[in-house]
Amino acid sequence: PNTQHNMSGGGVRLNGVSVVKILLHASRHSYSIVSGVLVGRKGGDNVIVVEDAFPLAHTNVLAPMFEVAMMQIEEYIGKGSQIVGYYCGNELLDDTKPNLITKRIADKIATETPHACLLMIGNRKLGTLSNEVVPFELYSKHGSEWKVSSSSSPSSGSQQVEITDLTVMDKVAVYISSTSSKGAGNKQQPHAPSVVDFDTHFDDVSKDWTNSHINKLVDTK
Amino acid sequence: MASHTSPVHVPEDKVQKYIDAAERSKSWTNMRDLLYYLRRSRQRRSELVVRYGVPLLDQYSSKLGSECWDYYEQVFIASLDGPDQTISERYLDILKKQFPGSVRVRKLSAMLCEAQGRHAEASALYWAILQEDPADAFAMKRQIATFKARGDVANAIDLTNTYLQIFMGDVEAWSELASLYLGQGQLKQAASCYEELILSAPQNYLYYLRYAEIVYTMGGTENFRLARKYYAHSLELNERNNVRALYGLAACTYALSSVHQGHRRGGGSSAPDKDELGGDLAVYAVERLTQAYTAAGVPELGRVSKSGFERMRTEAQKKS
Repeated sequence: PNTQHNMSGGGVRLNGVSVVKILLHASRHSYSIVSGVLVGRKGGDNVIVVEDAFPLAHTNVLAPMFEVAMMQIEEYIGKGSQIVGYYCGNELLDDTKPNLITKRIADKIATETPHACLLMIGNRKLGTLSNEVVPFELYSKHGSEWKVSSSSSPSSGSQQVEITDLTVMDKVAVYISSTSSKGAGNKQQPHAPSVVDFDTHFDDVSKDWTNSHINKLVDTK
Repeated sequence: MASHTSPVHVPEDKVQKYIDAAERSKSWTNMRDLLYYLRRSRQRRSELVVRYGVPLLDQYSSKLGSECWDYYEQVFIASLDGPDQTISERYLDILKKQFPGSVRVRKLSAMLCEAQGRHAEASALYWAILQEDPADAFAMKRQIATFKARGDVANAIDLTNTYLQIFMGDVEAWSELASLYLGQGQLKQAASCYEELILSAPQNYLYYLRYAEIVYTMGGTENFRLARKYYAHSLELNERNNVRALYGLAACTYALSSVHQGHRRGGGSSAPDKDELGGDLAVYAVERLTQAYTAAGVPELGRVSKSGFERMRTEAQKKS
C-alpha cells in the first residue's frame, strides 16, 4: 500500500498549455528569476489538476503587483477554476530551492487554497528537454514548511508531477532552440510565441497577460 | 566593460532593420553596422552578436582595421552567453596575442572563467587586479557577480556596499543592492537603497514607484499611507504612462480600508482620512486605468481589471 506522506497527497498533473507557458516564460527571461500562478482544480485522489498558467514576473515579486495580478486572474478564470499553485524558476542554474519571497507567496496562496502546490523549475533540465523528463520539482506544505515531495514508490505507478501531454515538450524544445544563436535570424525556424507576464503587461497594457494566443496554439496543435 | 558612453536607445524596429539588412545581403558592412548599434545601445542580444559577429571577424577582420579589436571584445563577451566556448577561447587568444599583459584582457580571461563555472578562479583573478588598482570599478562589480553566482549573497551585499561607498553615483549598483536585499527578504534595507536613488534623482518617477512597492510590501497602516504618497508623487511626475502607480493607488486604498475595518473593533490606529473612508483615489485610479486599457486597444482586459476591483471593493466593505 502506498502511504501518503505529504499534504498534497496525489501530486500534480499539468496539461500541455500550462507547461508550454511555464517553459517559454523561463526561457524568455533566462537571466532572471521567473514566477507565475497555476490555475485549475482538485481532481480525484487529491491530485491537483493544472489547466493553465499565468506568468507573473521576471523580477522579485512585491505585494502590490502580486495582489493586483491575483485579483485579475481570479476575475478572469471565473467560478469554474481556482488558483491551485505557484511556479518559480531561480536565477542561478543549480539553485532549485525556493527563496524567502517565493515561500511567502506560496504561503499566501496556500491560505486561500489548502494543498496548493509549489513547483520549482529544474533549470538544468531545460537544456535537454525531451518527452521523457519532467523538468519540475514539487514542494508541498508540511506544517509551516515547504518540503520537496518524496517520489512515490515505483510500485504505485504514479509520479509526483505528471505531464498529461508530453508531446508539447518536443514543441517547446524547438521554440527554445529558435532563440539560440543557431536559430536567431533564421526565418525557417518556427518562432517561439511571445509570452507575456504581468511585469511586461504593467509596462505596456496592450500586451495580453492571459496569453490566449498560446492557448489557441496548443489546442489546435 | 564596453563603451563608457551612455546607452543610446535603439527601438526594436530599428534593430530589426539592421537584422534584415544583414540577413538580406550578408555584406560585411551590414553585419558591422548591426554589431555597432547593438554595442552602442547596450542591449544584451548575444545570439545576434555571435551569429553575425563570427562570420564578420573570421572573414573580414582586415577590413575593420584597428576597430576590429572592439569587435573581437564584443563578440567574445557575447559568446560567453552561448553554449559554444571554443569561439570564446579562440577570440581571447587573438586578443591576448595583440595586447599581452593588458589588464583589460585579463578581465576578459576572468570572465571566461566565470562563464565556464570556475568562479573561485575568476574571483582570484579579480582580487589580483583589485590589488593593483583598488578602484577598478569593473573588477569589483565582476567580483560581486562571482559571489552571486556562488550563491554567496552575504558577501555580494557586503562588497556592493563597499563599492557604493566609493562609487555612490552608480544608480545601477543601488538597484542591484536593493535587488539583493529583496531576495533575502530584507525590505527595510532595500527601501533605503531607493531613498538614496530618490535623493540622487528626485525627478525620476520610477524610484518613487519602486519605493512605494517595497514600503507597501512591508505592510501596516503607516506604510500603506506612505506608499500612497509615493505612488501619487510618481503619478505626478509621469501621468501619461504610469499604470503601476494607478494600480498602486487603488491597492493602497483597499489595503487601508481593510486595515481600518479590522481595527474598528480594537479601536487601533489613528482615524481614517477621507480617502480611506470614501475611496475616491481608488475610483479615480480605476477610471484612469480603464481609459488606459481602452486607449491601448484592449478594452476587454480593462473590463477584467475593473470588475476585479469592484469585487475587491465589495469584499473590503463586507469585512465591516
